[in-house]
Amino acid sequence: MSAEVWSNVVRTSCARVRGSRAVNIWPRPIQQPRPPVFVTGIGNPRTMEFCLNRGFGFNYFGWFGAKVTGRRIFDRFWEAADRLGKDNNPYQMGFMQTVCVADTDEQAEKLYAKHAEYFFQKAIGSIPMERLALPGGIDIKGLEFIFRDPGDFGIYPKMRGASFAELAKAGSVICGSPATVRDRITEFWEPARHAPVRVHAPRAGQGHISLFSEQVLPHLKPIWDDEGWQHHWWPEALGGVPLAGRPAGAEAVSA
Amino acid sequence: MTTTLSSRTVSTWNDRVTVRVRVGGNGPPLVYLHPAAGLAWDPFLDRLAQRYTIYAPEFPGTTPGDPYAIHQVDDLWDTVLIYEHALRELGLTGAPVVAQSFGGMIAAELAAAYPQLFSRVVLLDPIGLWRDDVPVANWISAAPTELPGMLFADPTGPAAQAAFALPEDPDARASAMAQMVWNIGATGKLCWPIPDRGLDKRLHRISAPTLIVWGEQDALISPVYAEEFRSRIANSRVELVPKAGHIPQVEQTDTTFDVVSAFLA
Repeated sequence: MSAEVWSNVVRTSCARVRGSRAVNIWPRPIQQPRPPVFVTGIGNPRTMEFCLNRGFGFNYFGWFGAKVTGRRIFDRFWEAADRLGKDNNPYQMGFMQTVCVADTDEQAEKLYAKHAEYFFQKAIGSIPMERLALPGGIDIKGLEFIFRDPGDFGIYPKMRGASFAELAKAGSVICGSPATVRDRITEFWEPARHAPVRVHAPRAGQGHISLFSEQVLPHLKPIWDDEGWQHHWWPEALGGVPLAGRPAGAEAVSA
Repeated sequence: MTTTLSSRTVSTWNDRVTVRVRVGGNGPPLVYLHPAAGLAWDPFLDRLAQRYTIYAPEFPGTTPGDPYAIHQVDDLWDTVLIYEHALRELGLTGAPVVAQSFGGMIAAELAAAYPQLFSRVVLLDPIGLWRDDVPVANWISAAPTELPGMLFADPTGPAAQAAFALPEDPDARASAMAQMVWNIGATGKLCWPIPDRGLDKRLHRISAPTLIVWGEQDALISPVYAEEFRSRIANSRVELVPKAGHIPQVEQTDTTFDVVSAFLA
């Protein structure tokens, strides 16, 4: 329904759960009929298949410790792509990572460690598993994955009391100088074939943003250039290329 | 389990939902409607199966191998129509029904919507009503460690241990846990976040003789709800089962079987 209201003036909705006579969002997105779509997940294979079948991007949340969980999730996505006969276009796999940059590793830790600890301990670390995995929220195939191998949850079981050192070691946070951050992101990036990185920065100031955009990002951007893939999940105005015959990510949405 | 079970399937909902019905026992037909976690065949059903042929329909989505049937069920009214169709197709109109917790709510809704559907109604600690001063516990978001105390008078007793026993094989264990969580999510569609879909307005339509059985120490839904059901169903009475929590037929099988079988006889 979101996709339709992005592109239509006013829509009468007969949604199964709640009917609305008129759905009219404003402002409307610049991209028409709608912007590219990324669906965020934590590794459920059904979510991955949904994205691949619909031509959406899949965005992985690295909060559970990308170093301990990332590779298994990324591999699972590309296995699903192979199984469904889809391209292994790295731009389709996104990755949300908490990143903190300062001039030096020491300075970054001094600036950000306590905020990173606060965020992980008080936010996701304080949500009990029975609420995080509330019945009805995770597909049965995802549940089987989780119960067979709880590794997808990384350091979540001890996150409520996790120190900065533990969070950094697991990859829940990447913190350091531009060179350190570059190297650590690239460690995940290349073998995993994911491309877009969404940066989540607790207490990010202008200094962090400048350092990341000037000294980290330029090194990451061209990494897949030599493979010749087009980025179908990026706004056209910023260089994204619509899927054949339609604007970027313009498949019908009905789920 | 001593009962040999077979399965019947009924295509319902314009062929969008196939209801699997587990069948076992000897004697006249009796319908059993399972609780929120899905159908588990227990010693109480084994004993009933010595006198009746039990037909136990599985709520859409809770049948192993067919999880997405729940996507065809939007609400309580869909559910009532699907169950009514399944029971009618199986020729079960006029049979008695025994129903537990979530199943009790479904049985009460069916008996209210179709007063001739059941000859007798046995509700074992049914959900479906709500009092702000005695809220029903939220089993859907409960931690696994909380559930034994929510469901059993003796959370460490043999009945509780048997109820939460899981297969030793890791794959079978993972599948069983996933199925249980999925079942609670599927049935939760009709009882999340508050298990009250207006049943109190419809209970007066039940005309079949009704027995309301309640564990005296039910911590999930207080025994005060027994009177709430009784006062709304004309031809009904209450039996409280001592030393039992939310699942009296499992925790005090003999006592519960005696009162239920005497009522059905």
